[in-house]
Amino acid sequence: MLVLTRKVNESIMIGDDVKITVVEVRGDQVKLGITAPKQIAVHREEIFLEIQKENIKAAESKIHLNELDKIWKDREKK
Amino acid sequence: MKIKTKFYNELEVLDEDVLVFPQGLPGFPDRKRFVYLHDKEAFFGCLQSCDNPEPAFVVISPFTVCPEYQVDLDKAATTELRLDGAEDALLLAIVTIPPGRPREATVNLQAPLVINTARRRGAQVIMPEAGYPLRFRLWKEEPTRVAKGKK
Repeated sequence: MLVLTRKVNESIMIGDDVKITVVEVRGDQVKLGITAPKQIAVHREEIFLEIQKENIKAAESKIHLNELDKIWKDREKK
Repeated sequence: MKIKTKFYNELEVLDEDVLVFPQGLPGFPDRKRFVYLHDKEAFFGCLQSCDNPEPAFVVISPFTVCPEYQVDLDKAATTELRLDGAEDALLLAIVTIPPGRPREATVNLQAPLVINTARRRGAQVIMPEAGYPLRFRLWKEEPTRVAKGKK
């Protein structure tokens, strides 16, 4: 990991198109501003990791679609 | 072309049925070609990888559990979907089924799949700020309604 030290209002460039600016520092919280092209998704790391984990879990499902559908339709009959 | 599927063995699919996910999906960044398999009578559909039987995701339309579901289309633009209008967008939500406990299945309303049906492109759009749950319980006793902002 490249570690750079910045003061408030200073920035970092990643490639030609991504800029990260330190907007505010308050206590142990840092507010970052990100300028990036629309095609690049920007997310808090923990959110991305949660989605990743959920996708992997979802892909592991073993039950057959037809069986799942049957169970679902039985539910509506009750 | 023939593809091997998780639920239907080998299937013949047309090139124009293939959906390209330029970024793959979180957890599966190198899986970029999928087909959407859906029996009209069925509640559940399947987003099947063209390159391999795995992954195949069980999916539903999010509107069936959340009639007022909304995706910020401008956000969808950030994932190279090139949507010209809302009418081209197909929304799907991935279902997670715990092994052996199908009635505990949950649906991911926080990160829907947005498919541009006109350009045959798709992406998973992550929208934590919209307030939808990551794991919405499908099997609920009362009529299902998810209020925006409710976790």
